[in-house]
Amino acid sequence: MRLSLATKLVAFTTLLAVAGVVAGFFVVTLLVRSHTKRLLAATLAHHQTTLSHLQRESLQGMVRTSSLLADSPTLRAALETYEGEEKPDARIAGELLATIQAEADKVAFALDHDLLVVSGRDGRVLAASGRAAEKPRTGEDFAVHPIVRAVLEPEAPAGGGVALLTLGGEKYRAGTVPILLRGFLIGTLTVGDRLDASFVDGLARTFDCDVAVVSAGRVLGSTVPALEGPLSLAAPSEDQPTLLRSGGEEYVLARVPFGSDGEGAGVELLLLNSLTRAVGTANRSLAGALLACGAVATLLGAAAAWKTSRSVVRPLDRFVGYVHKVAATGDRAERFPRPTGCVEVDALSATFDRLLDSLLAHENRLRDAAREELDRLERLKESEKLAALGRMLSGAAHEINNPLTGVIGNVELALRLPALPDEVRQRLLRIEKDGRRVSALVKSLLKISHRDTGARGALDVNAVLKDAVEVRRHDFASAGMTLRLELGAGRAVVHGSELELEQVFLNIVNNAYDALHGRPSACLTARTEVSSGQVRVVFEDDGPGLPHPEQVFDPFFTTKPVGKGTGLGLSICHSIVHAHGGEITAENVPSGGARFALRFPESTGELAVSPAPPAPAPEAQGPFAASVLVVDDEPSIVDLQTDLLASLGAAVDAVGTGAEAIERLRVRAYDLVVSDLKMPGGVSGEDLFRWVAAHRPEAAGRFLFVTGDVAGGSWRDAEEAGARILAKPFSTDDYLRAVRDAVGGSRHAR
Amino acid sequence: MKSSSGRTCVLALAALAAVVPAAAVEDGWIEGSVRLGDDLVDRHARFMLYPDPTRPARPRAAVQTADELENVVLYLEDVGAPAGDWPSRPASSVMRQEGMEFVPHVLPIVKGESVEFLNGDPLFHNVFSLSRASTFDLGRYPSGRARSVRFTEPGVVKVFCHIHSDMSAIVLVLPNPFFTTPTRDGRFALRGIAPGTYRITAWHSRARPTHKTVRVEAGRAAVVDFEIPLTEDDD
Repeated sequence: MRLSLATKLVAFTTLLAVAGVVAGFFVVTLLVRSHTKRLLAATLAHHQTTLSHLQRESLQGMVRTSSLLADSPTLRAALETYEGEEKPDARIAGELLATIQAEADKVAFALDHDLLVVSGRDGRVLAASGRAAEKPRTGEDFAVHPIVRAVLEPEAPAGGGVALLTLGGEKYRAGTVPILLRGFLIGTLTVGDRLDASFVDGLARTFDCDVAVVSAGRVLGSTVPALEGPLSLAAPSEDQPTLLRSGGEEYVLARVPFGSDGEGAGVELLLLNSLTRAVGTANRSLAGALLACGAVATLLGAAAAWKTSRSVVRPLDRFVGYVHKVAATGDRAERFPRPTGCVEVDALSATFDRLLDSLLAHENRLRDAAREELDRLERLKESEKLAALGRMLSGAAHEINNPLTGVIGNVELALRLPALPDEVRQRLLRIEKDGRRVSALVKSLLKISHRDTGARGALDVNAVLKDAVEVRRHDFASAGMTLRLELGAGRAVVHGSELELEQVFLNIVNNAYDALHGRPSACLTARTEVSSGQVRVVFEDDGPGLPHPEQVFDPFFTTKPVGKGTGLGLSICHSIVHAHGGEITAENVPSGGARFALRFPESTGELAVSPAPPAPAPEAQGPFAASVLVVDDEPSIVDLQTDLLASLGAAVDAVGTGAEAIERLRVRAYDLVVSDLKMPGGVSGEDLFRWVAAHRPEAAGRFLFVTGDVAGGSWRDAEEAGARILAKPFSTDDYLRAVRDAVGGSRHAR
Repeated sequence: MKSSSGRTCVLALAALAAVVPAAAVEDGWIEGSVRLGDDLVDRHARFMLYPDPTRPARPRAAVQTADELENVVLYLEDVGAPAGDWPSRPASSVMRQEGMEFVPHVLPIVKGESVEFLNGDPLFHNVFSLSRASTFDLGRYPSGRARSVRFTEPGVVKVFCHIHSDMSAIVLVLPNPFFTTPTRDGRFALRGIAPGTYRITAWHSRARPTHKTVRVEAGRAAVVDFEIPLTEDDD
């Protein structure tokens, strides 16, 4: 059976209280018994003293009484006369004896003694009176009794004696005095009181206790019912009262020696007090009091236990409810209100709070870790996506650039024609413009897709921002929106990854585009400024603003329709900016648009040298008489180059592969070799360059690469070896300048 | 009786015989001594057992044997002689009551005589007797008065006072005037006795009468010595 704390406490307390009361009752009972015993013994000892004293007084009184009796002139005259008669005749003797007897009767009756005996000086009984059943007969020798004999003795003390007298089986407390005449003994007078029930009753009344008279263990008289001999009494001891058991009751007793009759055992008077009755009375009242007190104590204890348990159980119940609630809602932040008034529950609650805190902290760590992991994965995914896109773009750009080069080159060639109708010229110019736009776009895409993701270094934020913005400029323009770029003057250098920063900028621009789309004349302004060691980049639009500016950096937060965005973009931006030691904030400007502000610590690092814009060749239009070997797998490019070079007057040989070029170079020398980098067949532009460098070192200085894949890995090697590179698509001016430079030996560091 | 020898009066008989002249030719006399046993006086209480509050307690002086000799009476039982020969006696004797006592304590008289009880104390006294020889009660009478009783029967008459229980006296009524009381030294002499054989008795109230037979010869003393009480029980 399971019991509640309250029940247990109450039961336990009640049990304790009851046990305490019962134990207390027994202990107190024992104490009361012991004390009562001592008290009774003390009372009896007092009685004992009093009785001894009274006894002495009584005996002296008896002697005095006896003396007075003996003073009767009639008695003395009769006695003396009787004794003196030499030969008394029967009549006279009878009269004298009758006189004596009458005197004895009178006195015995008046003084209420049980026995009164007059004897002559020889101890013969002359008269006996009193209530005694068995009185000595006249003429009987009364001197057999020591008490009488003692008086008759010649040397006897004159005052008479007091002692016990045994007569006919009964004991008397007796006093004998001599009857004197003119100082001479003429007889004795003995008075006695029977030691029997009535004697004992009288004493019992006097002392208000039980009394018994015993002799040699025989009970002569007793007020104790059922007290029968033979009694064997222990020797009295000082500290331990003598106890006697009779009739189911226990008595404390005191013994008063009562003298001896000189023959048999002495007589003792026992004063008895019933311990059973005395203790019984005390115990009854004690039991009542203890019962009442015990009941009160039990009730109080139970109430206190109940109250105490409530003070624990109530807060505990509340706490359990709270724990249930926490379990149900999962709200780790809710706290159990303290103090409850119960220390234990407070401690429990505090412990639980610490547990919750620890859980919360652990959870937060886990969530942070999960978020970081997600970020990492997302970034990885983005990177991979970008890498894949880059590869695709790289291939696509190559494929685009070649025809585009042809388009642009041919249009330029066409524009050189004199006497073109104005309308044709305008259309050609538009084609050229569009071609150049395509060319710029492809260049930007290639640049983005081929950036090295991890490498960090000193970056010109303005350049990065410009590149990023350029990617979407056309989209903005075609949607009727404005993308304004306000680059701060001077250097804005940060230490970072170009790709990552461009990704951040592009992301923000993309978001702005999505937000502003459908709002003609909307404007996004990208601004950079440098102040006090910080580079700030601010994007500000006049769109609808952010509904939740504070949440935009949370992962998976998105305002876009499902399927349109992952919600990871700005979160990744946040991570990237933080990884660069910067900060990104989002807010709404008072006029209603959204503003993203980024801050980066300014770097003092040296910028990588950027290519200076090539100076225009003044002699670009001049004749160019040189032998040129054009190597390209793209026939249109070959044709264009041939046309261009031929228009300047150069002798051009054209081949489609590297192997063919090597064949030609083995045969003769050229003033210039113009080669594509990527070519089908076993020999690439690079291989060709190496061959030239190895076999025709003088010709290596006059080597120009034309490539649609400007981001190719071999780019640097060729450059370092002294080759020039011209990226497709190129304008005719660019081409001719590069050609002239390569032939002329005027080298530009790139 | 164990210690009696030291207190015996000794009579030097020879010396006495020489001293006493032969006054009467035809008569003889009896002389001798009385020795009292100590037991007669030893039992005397040394104090008043029943003190009288009216009188200052006075310790009773030890009773001397010599004092007790006053209470001894020696008499001849059967004289048988004519009355004329007997010594003459007053018709009345006096017993006084003085100091709460009868004085004398023992008064021997001859039968037919009277005793006058004279109250010499300044208070009432009573005289009565329960004795066989003479039973009387004179009643109470004041100081200075006297009442008399005539005793006709020989015998021991014990006299008491009904007011004062310790007072007692004995009137010893004898058949003839041949009696005497020893002197304080225990000696006695009984004169004018016709020769013959007599029974002489020594009497004391607390002792059994002691009898002796004595032969009296004319003109000379018959010597009898008594010891009271007698050691022998029967005689």
